Amino acid sequence: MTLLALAVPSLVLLLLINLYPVIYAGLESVRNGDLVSPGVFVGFANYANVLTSHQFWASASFTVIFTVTGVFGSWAVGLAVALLLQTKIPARGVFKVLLLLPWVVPVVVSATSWNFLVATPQSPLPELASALGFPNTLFLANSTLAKVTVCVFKVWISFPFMMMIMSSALSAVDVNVYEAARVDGANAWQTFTRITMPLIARSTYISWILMTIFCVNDFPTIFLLTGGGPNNSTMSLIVLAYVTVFENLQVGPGVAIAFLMTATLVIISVVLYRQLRKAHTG
Amino acid sequence: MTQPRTGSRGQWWRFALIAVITAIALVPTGAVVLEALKPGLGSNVTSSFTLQNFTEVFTQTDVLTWLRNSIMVTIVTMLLREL
Repeated sequence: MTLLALAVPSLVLLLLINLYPVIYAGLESVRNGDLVSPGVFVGFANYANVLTSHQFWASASFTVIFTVTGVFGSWAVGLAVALLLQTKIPARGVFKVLLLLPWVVPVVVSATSWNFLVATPQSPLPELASALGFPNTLFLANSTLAKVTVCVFKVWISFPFMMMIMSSALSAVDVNVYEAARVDGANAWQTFTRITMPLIARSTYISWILMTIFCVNDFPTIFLLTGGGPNNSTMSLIVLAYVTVFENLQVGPGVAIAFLMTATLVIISVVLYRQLRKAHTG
Repeated sequence: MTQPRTGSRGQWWRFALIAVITAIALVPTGAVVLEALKPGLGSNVTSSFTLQNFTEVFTQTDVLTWLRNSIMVTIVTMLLREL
């Protein structure tokens, strides 16, 4: 009883900080208010409207593309760079620091730099594309190219994080295991797939879970580069929720989108976490 | 992890590869840094590179206030997280 009493202040604080905003948002999602007035209770009409709208499913589709590319693209690049940095090369520390810059630099600066590189026909990359025989390549004005650009930007900004996690996982692997594999005649590919990958599986799953959460919740990367355009082609669910609440002033549907997004994210995280436990116990 | 290969050929192609990857990764950041060092539109600076943009930021905007705000938010957030 005394122990419970001691925990009460912390529990109250936790509930106030974490639960209150969730409950408040939950109530907002079943009302038709705007940013000024609370509106009236409409039940699950907001959820029904959101789930039957074309824009929601288009945004969900792009969110999946963005997340899958962001997670596996940044992981693949991060792992490759981490593997390279594990070998004895000159100035390894300098490369590590320099490669962290895309992740360390504020996303506003990164988005500005990418806009400078791709946004206008006079930007360096469209000019390079023109010189290679692809004139009028507008990376942010064409729907497909804008999607590709946003995904590449996400991989670029996220790979240093993956590189750090993979580097620490690779450092923890016992060198003797590789010695034994070499003695047994394993080639580089066999060593990588049968020793390295299983031994870093736990860190890999953790990095996937974290990056999935980062990607689904990533607002600035998309909003600063394309604002969800052109023609809403790069509109992710989080950007759609923002636009619905703060530009269309529809708080209920906007919060409903955010709740649906959170529910999906929880399911994905649980599935990945189970994989992680399996890798840990197996 | 993987036993580092000490053979100089293997070492140098890895060095070249990581140098190329680093260069590509730094292009966007480098481009915006170079752009910040170029004279702005309507500037009477004749040289290719100048610190005029930085001078203007410090003399004509409230950048120090924004910096102080950022530092304060960072410190308060860190302290609250540690509680």
